[in-house]
Amino acid sequence: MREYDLEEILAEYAEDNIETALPEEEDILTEEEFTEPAAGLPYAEDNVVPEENDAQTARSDDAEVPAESAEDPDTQLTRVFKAPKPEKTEGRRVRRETESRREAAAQDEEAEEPKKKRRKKPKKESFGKKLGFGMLSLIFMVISLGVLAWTLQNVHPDTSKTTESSRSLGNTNLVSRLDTGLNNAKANALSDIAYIPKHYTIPEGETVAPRPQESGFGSVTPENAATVMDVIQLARDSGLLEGQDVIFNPNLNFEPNTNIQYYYDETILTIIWKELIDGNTVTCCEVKVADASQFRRKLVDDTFGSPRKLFATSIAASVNSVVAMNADFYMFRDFGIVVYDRELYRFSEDTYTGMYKKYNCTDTMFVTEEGDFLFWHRLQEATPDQMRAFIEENHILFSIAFGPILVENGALTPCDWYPAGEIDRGYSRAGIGQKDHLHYFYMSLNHSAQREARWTVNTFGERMYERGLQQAYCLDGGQTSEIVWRGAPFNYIDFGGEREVSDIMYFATAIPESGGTP
Amino acid sequence: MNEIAVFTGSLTIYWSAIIICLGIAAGLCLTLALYPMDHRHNTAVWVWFPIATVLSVLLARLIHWYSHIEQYGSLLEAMTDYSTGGYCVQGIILGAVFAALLVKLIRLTPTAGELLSAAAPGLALCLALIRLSSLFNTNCRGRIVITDKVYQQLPFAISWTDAAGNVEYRLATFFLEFLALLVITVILCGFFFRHRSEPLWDGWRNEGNVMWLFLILLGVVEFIADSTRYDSALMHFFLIKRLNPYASFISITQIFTAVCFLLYFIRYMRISVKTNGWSWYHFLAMLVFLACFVGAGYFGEYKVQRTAQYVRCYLWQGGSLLLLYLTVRLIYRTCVAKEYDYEDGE
Repeated sequence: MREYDLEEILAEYAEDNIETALPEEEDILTEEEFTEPAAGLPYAEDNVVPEENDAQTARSDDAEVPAESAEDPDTQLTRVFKAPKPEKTEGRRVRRETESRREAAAQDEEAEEPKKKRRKKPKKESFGKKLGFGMLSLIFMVISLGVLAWTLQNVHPDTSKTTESSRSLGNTNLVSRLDTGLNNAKANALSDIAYIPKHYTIPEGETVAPRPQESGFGSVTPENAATVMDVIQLARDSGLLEGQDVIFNPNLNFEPNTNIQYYYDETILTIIWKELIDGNTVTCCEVKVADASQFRRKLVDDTFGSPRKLFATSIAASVNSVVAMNADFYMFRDFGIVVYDRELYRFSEDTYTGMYKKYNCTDTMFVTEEGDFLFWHRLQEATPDQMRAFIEENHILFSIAFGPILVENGALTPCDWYPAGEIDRGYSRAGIGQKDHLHYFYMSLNHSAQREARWTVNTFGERMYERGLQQAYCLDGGQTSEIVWRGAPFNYIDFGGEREVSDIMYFATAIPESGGTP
Repeated sequence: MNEIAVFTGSLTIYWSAIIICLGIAAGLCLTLALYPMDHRHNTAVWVWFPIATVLSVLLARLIHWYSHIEQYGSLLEAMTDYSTGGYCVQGIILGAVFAALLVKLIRLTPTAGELLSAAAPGLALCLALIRLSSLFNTNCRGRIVITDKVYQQLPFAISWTDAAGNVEYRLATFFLEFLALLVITVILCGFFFRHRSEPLWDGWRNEGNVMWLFLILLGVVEFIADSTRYDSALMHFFLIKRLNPYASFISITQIFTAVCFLLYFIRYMRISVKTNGWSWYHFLAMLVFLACFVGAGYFGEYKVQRTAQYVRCYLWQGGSLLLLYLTVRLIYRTCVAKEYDYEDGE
């Protein structure tokens, strides 16, 4: 160790008038203090360049200073440590080394006269170095300003829709619209002479449906289930039912203490109830609409790929649905054919061909602009172009990608294996079916506090089939399985609470809120 | 409030962009103030800053693209058009770290850790303001609907009007995160002044310890905040996608937090074991670490989704993370040569 005379050094500093960090007075050691480090008295060893085996007292970062930085006087600022005291908490190896160092130091000190230590005089930085650093700083300062300006103009996350859905407003069928307009004009003109039903429709580009009329809602107890038949008769008389039979029957085995709910106006009849089947509580909903535009699909933000997820009740409220139900929760998985607003958004060609096809393909349910269900079987191969052609030819509005198909063309379609939905386990299930033209039926089976037993997909399919459906398709089940009626879940949801989802299907009234002409 | 602050001709500047730039500038100023305290040249900061900013934007977008592939037409589109789309804050941290390594590579700073330690409080401040900027876009809404009128105001909730005109109040996730990050900034500043050069036993290097602390504190805040968000960035496993198409389930933020905690834990556990030897508390710490992390994930990801019992689940999650934090910090303390009553020599 080098030794210095403290007074001499202090005089040097005073002459140079250099402000630097000197140890506080109490940190400057007396002779007595330095010879007894083990007693816990402070000593200064700040000017000692750390040796390789002297790591305990060396600043770790000083040890890493590169050669040119090490010469920089600023980097060699003093660090004042108080002498270590052996304590119980001290590391074992450290204790051993510290003790040996202390012994060695004591021997040295006996032989030599202890002297005060000093720090090295800081060197002044050369002008060239300063200039270099200054220029570099200046250049990067200008670059930084440029980067900030670019950021100001370009980085504004989520201020607008991330991916605008390409709502295809241009595909309106002009002839059909003209027919509708003429029909309604005729109905208005001849209202005193003859009853001509008006035709209402929801424009395809509308993201929000008209709000249902409060007067259209009703509720009856299971004992008064026959009252619902009066409502059905009204719908029949108005021509809404188009002569079709209904699934609802006042003699069903209704769940006690739950009311049968309904909504009726000129464009939609909805009946929703809970019944007991095989000891399980099953929620059923029958819907007949006047126009295919009343059967709709809603993705959060109206944008395919939106990362946001909301409760089905929130989504349903945002579109004024009469009744809404879960769909396929498309954002939860990466497979399936997703069509929305007539556009093909998800179709991974490689998952529909080759050895992995079996594991990644689902049956797909397409809904046409006529409100009909079309199925695409999961082992059918296609290229994206073929799929686009299929969508265009069949006027597909949207798709649901979960499955499997439960009933097709009036025939039950059992399923042995399927990549989604844990089909062989007793599980909460949901499915939608088509009974007739613009006539739909939704069923969900959830567990409840009292009834835990649930169905496999094939059992669920049989129960759907028994309702006389022409087409039926399985939707996402489990906690996703939910039907929303008047702003709240109507069925019991697994685990007792809603789960955020990325999409719903819903039925809406087509009668404008103003009550004006369609 | 209108999202646009300035609109003239082809120039459109959003309020959120202004707040973000203010955050970046504030972070830079703080770093410039702290870095010279060890008598270093600020040149390193000036070089680091633009590189870090550019890398942060690139990486934040890359991670966002990865977790929201279907929002973008292609990778090229995602990486060339920054006027739409989102960003993941983890990219900002990675960008700052990579930039510091580059600055170290050109020998403008003795160690990347030293630069990052000085930058950590600035990064926290910058992130705080980035989160605040979400008040001016569509993002600051959590998944939790606030129905109690008392809490239907900032800092608890923010209103949202849906397409049908219904008003709903949701947890102001990002605003709360902004407040938490401000607190972290203050903590890091204090830590920087008092402990940035804390010596470790046996001369182990302790560079970047402020940055390490920042990472785990940020991890705690992000872990909880991410669980309350309705648009978490989820992990996709490309390699096993064909066999497991359901993999988009685990949040990237949670993985980021796990990695930060794990690296911190491994780093200081190793030092602790080498200096003190294996001891009972090392095994206990490992057990507690594992239990706490599983607990935090279980309550914040699974249980809250299943039961929607927010208060209970987030209390459990917060408790687990606090215990996790204390565990790793205790391990850190066993590495610090605390008998050396270090005083800043300036």
